[in-house]
Amino acid sequence: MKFRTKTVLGVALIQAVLLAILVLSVLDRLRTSNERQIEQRANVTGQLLVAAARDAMVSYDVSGLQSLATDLVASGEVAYVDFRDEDAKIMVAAGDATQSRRDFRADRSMADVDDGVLDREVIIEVAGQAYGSARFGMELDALTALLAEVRRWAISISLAEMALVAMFSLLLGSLLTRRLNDLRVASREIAAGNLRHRINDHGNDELAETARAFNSMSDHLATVSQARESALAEVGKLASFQRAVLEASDSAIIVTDERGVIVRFNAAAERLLEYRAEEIVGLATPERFHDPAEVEAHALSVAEELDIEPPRGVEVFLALARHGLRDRGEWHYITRSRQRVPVLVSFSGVYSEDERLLGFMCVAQDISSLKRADQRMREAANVFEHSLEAIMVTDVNGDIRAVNPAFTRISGYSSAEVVGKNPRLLKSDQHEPAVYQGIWKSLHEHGYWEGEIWNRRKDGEIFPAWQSISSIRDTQGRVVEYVSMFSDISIRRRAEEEIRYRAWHDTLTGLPNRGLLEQHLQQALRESRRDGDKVAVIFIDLDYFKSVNDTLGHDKGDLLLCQAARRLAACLRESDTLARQGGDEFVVVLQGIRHGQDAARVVGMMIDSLGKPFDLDGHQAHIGASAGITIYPDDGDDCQILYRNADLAMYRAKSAGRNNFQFYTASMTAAALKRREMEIELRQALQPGAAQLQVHYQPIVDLASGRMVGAEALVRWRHPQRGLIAPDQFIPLAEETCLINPLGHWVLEQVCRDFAAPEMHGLTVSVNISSRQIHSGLSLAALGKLLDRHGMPSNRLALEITEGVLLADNEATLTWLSGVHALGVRIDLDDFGTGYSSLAYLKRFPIDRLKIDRSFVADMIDDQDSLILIETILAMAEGMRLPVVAEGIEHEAQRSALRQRGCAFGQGYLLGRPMPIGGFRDLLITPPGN
Amino acid sequence: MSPSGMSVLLLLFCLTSMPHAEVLSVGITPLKAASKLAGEWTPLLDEVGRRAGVTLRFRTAPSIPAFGERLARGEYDIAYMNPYHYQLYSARPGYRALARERDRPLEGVLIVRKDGRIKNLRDLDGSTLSFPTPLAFAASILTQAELQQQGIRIKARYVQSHDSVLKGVAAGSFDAGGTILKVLRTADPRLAGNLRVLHKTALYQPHPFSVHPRIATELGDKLRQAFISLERDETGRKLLADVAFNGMEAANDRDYDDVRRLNLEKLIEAVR
Repeated sequence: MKFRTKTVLGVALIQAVLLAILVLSVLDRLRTSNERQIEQRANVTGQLLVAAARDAMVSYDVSGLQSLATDLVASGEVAYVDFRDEDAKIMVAAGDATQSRRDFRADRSMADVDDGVLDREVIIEVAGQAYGSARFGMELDALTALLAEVRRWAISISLAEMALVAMFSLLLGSLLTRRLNDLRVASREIAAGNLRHRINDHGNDELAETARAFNSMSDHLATVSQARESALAEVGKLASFQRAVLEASDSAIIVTDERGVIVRFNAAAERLLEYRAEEIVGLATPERFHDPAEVEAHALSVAEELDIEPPRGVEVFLALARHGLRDRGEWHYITRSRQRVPVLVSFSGVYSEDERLLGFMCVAQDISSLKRADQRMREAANVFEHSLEAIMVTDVNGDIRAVNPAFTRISGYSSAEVVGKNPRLLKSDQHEPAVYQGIWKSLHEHGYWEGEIWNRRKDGEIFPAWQSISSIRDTQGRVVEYVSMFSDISIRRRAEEEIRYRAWHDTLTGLPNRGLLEQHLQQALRESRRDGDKVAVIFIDLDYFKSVNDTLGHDKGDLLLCQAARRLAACLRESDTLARQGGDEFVVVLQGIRHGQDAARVVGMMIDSLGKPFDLDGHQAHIGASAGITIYPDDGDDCQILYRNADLAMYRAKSAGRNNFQFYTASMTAAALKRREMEIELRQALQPGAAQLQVHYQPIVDLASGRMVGAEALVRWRHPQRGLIAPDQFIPLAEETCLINPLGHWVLEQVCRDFAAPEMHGLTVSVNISSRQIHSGLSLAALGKLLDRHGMPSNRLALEITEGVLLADNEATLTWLSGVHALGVRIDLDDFGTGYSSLAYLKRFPIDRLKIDRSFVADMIDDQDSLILIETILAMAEGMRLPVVAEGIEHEAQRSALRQRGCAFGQGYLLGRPMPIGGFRDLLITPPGN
Repeated sequence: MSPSGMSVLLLLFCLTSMPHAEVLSVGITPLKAASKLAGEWTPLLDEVGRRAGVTLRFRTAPSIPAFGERLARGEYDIAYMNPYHYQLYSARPGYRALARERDRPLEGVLIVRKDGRIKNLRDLDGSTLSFPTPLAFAASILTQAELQQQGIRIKARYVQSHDSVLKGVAAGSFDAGGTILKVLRTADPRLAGNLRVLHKTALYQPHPFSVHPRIATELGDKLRQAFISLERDETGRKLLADVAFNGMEAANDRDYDDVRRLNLEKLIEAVR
């Protein structure tokens, strides 16, 4: 607002206020005094009225009162008046009749007046006696009218006065402001650069003096500015150069004065922080583009370093610089768009030549790309360090540059041990050189190779590894290094196997599960079709398993299942499959069997085995087993049918009273049962004191002399009910079951006992031994003990084995035979010529004698081939210096033919039937006829 | 028992035996301004009333004629009127005199300025005289009656009050004026000092207190006694002094026959 206006308004305002106060107070006073006057008048009027009316009232002069009243009203003193007698009845009234009729209430003062009339009542009395009263009212209109008039008058006067004052002050103001205006204009001119401008300085008052002073100042300024301009020109040149430098800089530069107010904000800073210089220059607010947390932290560190209170505001950045220290560090700038940019910032003080602090400089460099690179490097390093795969970096020559901890873990080599060496120390020698060549070729051509390879750990252990090798090239495409990564997959393999195993096996018993069983069965069926033999599928259900579970608990039940599984497995061959169907049910697949009865034998063994008591951690348990047997291809030709059959057969077994087996084909069951029966009976026969078994001896005779040189021991079984059971009935059965062992043992015992006698001197007894006995039935130690017990010279005992035994051709057999031989016991190769033995076996195994199979002997007369065969055998045996016994000599012709051809010994009905030891002994005394 | 004691007893008796006092109006002839009159008479009337066992209320009229009209209407139970009025209204409505001031016969006087030209009565012939009011018994009626008897013709100017008569004569506005001695005696010495009595009239019985016939005789007697009893005690005497009475005595109707003989009617009509 203009000064003039201010003046005028100010004055007007004051005027208004003062006048208002004056007018209002005057009016108020006026009103008050008027009111008081009226009241007084009322009082006086009342008194006068009383005085005037007293006589009339006392004398009841109505007309007198009337004229008095009328006169009173007419005088204008009262608006109305009435005179009332002692009983307050109106005697006379004058004036506004309505007044006297209305509800009268004497107004004690003006304040009580509410209707423009001041009402009063007076009592006219004399000597204590009231003669009447008078009521009157004073009209106040006059007063209000007066007041209103006065107010109007006052207001108009006031307004007029204010107007006058305003005018005068305006005048005065313009007088003042004119001068001021001159000054202002002049100042502006000076400011604009027009230093020649002068103002009117006539006069003697302060304004004129001011004008004069102004003019002289202008003179001075003009002079000074001349000098300054030339200096400034110089400075300007310099400044613009500096500015150019600042603006050209790549780093963001912020310059502040000594207080920290920003004076310079270069282009790089603008770019970095996304603010324009004009927005920032003049501020001292670092929080705009700093992270407050960082500022806080820096404040604390500065405080610590300088041992001061933590600085605030812009001082945080300047504190160190003030002490002449450089403050350099990493920060995050927050740009206008609220991005965080990592920067390297350096604060320092800027000093004049005379060591005076001019301000501060802050140089900031965007290090985000550096940080990113750093981050990437860190990440790569992390990967390198923490990768579970071994990482090996080799240079272009193939020498190891670096390895990671996983490498050490997997290979066993520490970093120090391998750096500088060649990776070939990991070679496992499992692979052909071609493999490695292939790797290099792939690297060369494609730049990478990946695959499975066997490597060797430091401790020599070979392990499978999944390895990948990449070649790293520089910008020119030259290889600078190779990065190789591998992981030890043995665990994985094992894990895979574990998984596979779990997929196919029952976890409790470790047996194949139904799925695997099915696969095996399918395979068995295929092979059976190919080989032409049979497959048996057997369902075995444990009897009374549930009661064990209930009484002893589930964990005992599990234990029982495992033990049962083991027992079942013990009765099977490697080619058989035992699976746990679930619960207490097992399935067995017997492969490569020739007869269904073979299955029965096995099942019988299993049932017997399961029938023996179980020791479950001290608790005894008895169970049984019910089994159902079905034969492929007899009973069906696909898995599902076979399963069903076996299941049905099992149920039949259960309903047949448990603890037995049933074939799907009933007849087979019968046969099997019969066999089982025989087995049981044989077992019984083997019991000591059963006296059912006997050993008979068939003489072996020197063909030339006809003298007995020995005998073959043959077991005979005299069944109480069945009578004599032929060996071919029960020997195979015994061989298939474990019974051959006790039987064999018993036979050996008998033989040793019988032939240990002195009269047997010079005689050799040969006992048939099955491969089962070799492998499981007869240990060398037992044999030795047996010989010792009976005092049997070992060289008088011979064990007859078939060619089939040799066919196994394994170390165990060789060891056993060698052991037997070492004991002094002889070894006869029985049924020679019928087996598939290669003649090399004769060299390999310690054979002492050959026994030509009876079939050749039987045909030798009629069949040329048989004869040639015999001749060949004899020739060979002679070459090998092996004695030969021809079996089955029944005719003289055979004997003589054999003798002619050089066969030394013979055996057969012609030469002697098998007989008990008694008979044999008799024969000794009386040799058989020549 | 002393008379005062007796009156006290009587008063007490009256007061105690009459719980409900009758209110009687007492009309006093307006010889002065009503309020002044009221001031003078009210205490006395209160006392008299007390003594008589009634409540007396002071009344008056704006003027003697008006008073006369009210008397004629019998508005006042008790009235103190001038003899002229009495002789009129004792006939109708029949006011009966009870008591009057003792030893104060009415006597009218003609006053002149001491230094005036009037020396004797005859000098008044043809003059204008001031009188209070036409019906001011002693001052106007008696004086004019005597002048008439003497055959002196005068012009009467009624100046309403004794004071005005005195002032008028003293001022020289009138050659003479009719008034009464009491007025003269009680007037301001500065005023009265300039005046002298020219002539005195014959004596007549003064104004009576009389009762309207409606008032019972016993009550009238009580009132009479009360009036008379006033001068017997201090209280009463003081009250009598307020109205400038000596005392009061009994009055009866025959006492005013002499006024009746004056035939004042004719005179009054002539001057009205």
